[in-house]
Amino acid sequence: MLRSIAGLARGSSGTQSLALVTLNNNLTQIRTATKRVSGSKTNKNDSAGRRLGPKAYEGNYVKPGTIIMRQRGTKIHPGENVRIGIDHTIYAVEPGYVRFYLDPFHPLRKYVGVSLQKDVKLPIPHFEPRVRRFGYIELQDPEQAQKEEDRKSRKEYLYQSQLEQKALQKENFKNDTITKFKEVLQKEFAVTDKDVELASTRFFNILTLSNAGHSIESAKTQETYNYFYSLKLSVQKGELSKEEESTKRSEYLTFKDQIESQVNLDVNGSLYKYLTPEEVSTKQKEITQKLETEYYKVLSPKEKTEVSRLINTAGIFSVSERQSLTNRFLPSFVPYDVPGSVIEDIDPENIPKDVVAQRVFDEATRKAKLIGRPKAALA
Amino acid sequence: MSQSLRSTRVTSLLKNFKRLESSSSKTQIKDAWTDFNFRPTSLKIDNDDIKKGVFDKINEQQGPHSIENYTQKLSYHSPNEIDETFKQAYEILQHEANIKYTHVKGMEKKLSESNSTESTISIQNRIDQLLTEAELYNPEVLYNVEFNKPESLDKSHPVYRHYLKQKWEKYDLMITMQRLEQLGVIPDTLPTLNPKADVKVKFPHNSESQFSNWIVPGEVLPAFAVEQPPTVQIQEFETVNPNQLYTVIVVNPDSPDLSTNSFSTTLHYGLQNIPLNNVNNIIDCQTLLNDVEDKFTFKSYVPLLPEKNAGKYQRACLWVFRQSEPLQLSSSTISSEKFDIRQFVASNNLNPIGAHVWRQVFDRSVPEIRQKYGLPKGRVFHRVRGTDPIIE
Repeated sequence: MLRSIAGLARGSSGTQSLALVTLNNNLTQIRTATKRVSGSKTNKNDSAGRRLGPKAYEGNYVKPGTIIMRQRGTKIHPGENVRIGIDHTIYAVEPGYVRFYLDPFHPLRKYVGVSLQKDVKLPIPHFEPRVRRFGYIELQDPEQAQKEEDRKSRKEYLYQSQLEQKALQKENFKNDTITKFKEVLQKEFAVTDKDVELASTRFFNILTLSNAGHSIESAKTQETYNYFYSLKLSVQKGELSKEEESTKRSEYLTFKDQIESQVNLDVNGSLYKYLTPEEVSTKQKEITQKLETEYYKVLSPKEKTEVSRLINTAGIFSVSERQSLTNRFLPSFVPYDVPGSVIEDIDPENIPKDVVAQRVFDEATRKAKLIGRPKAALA
Repeated sequence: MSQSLRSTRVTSLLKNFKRLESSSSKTQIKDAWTDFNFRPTSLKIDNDDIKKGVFDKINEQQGPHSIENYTQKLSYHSPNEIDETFKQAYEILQHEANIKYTHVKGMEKKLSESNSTESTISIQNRIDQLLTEAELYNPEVLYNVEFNKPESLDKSHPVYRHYLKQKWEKYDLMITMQRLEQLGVIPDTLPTLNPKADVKVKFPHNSESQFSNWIVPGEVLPAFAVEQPPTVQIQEFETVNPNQLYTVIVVNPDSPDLSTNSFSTTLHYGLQNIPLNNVNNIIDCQTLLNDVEDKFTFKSYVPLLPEKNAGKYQRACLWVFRQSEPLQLSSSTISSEKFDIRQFVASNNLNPIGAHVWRQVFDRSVPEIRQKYGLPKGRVFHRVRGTDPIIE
């Protein structure tokens, strides 16, 4: 029927179209149901509310573990003394009062935190000290306290045997060195029995300090300081009076000066007769001269021990000087410029037993050439 | 770039430079970098052979002296034309240094005439800046900075301090500031720090090398390793006023305060009126040995001795201050318990320039050291933390 009306309209004049409008106005609209009935399979997408939102409000007192906020995503960020869970739940980790706040460092975020004190607002100003809770409870029962103090972590427990062994080694080293020092001091330097105990301990302490990186001189100062410091502590404890301390100090100083004018300690741990700085420098010159003239060559094993003895002469060279001398005169691989370390013109067909043939690049001719090197130079 | 074009550029540069030289020929200083009459010898390369290698042609048969290994020495080849280029560049740079030194001379004259302290300081700063600029590209200085140990450099000259400061800012300063911030030394003790000096700390009484070296900020140390007062090195990079005095304190902001169920700050060590400068910059056992009458020490050292289960770590925060005037602090007027460091700094007019921190926790050596210091036995806390709130 509509089609016939439309056909009329197409070829029609004005009066006919007016009739159509009236006809249209008379059409009643029918709204059909677009929502399917509840039995349908596509209408099951709604769920119950998740009960999100704040669980504790501004100013509420919370204990550690209390949930403050349930949310999807971080509607509210975790602030001070709270943490955030895997589903963005915010919970307290300290007891205190809930505060919702804004942080000037993150102006677009809202925060919730726990203030440890009722009248303290959050955030705590940037340059103010943090408010912190101690929280540990003192054990009043002495027995229980001792038990707790002695309790070891698993790691500490497992390390016990190693620690004991180390302590024993240390103790043995100490006893051995001190007895050795005592012997030397009494026999070679005729130190009196009264001083020998103190002197040997002093030299042992200097030795351990020098092994830890001090020079012998600074180790001596440190050892003197350590002795004075122990005196000071005994004054603090009331074991010594001030006068006793000062007499002990002066006694120690005279003892120290006297012993140092006789004996000195070498970095390798041997005691030797005290040398004046002039004596040391002349001896240094002498030894370097000797090494340069006699031992700058390929050395036999016997000569090597002699060089090592010269370099390690007690009290002459410092550790670094010894190292550089060893590098020069006792290298593990003798450089090419040491006299006698390169044998030119060797016969490639018939190489002697104690010589190793090497092909090297000759900088002068810019060609490879064959040279021989004594086996002693490569050891 | 073609060879000819490069050579024309170089000649035009040289022409320019010669013109400059002739215009400034009235001012006296010439060849500043080779003249050691008015410059310290610390600006020289110490080893003559190495110096020769830097300035002159290297003999191909011998190689440079600075290389120790024989084969490496021989396999060294100088880049093409390096000697000529070096010479020309050296001349240009030295000329600029000459101008700077002429300025310095003028400023020194002004300095001798100035009478107000403010102008003296500003002139001194300007002189330091000029001296630094004059020596900044001196090959000898650059060699020394690159290959000599930092301890052996002459800290009285501003150029070495400039390079040391650069090195410090690149690594040590960043480590220090990171530890101070992340461990909460700032703001738990003082609000913040504008670092001016490199502060290094070590405990030289240790006979184990593990503990006797300089400590890295934030390190956890056992009680026996901190038994005696630390050695503190304070390297200033600005020129220090010869009468400058320093205060050094060690505080522990983590002492348990059971009356409030919170923490309080304890003073563990206090030194005052210590005269230091750019060169003598260390407070060590020698300083303390000379200090028999406790002229410097207003609070004698007590190490941190944490009690069992009293929190995770305790921080020993070492602060270094520049003083504005000599102080008269004494242990009788300052209580080390509940020490208010902010109030202390404000009332004594102190200017913080550096800080350091190490951490401690209860270990087996604590009881022994408590005994040595004549302290009572430490408390023991339950190892599970309670839920009691702060007592207000």
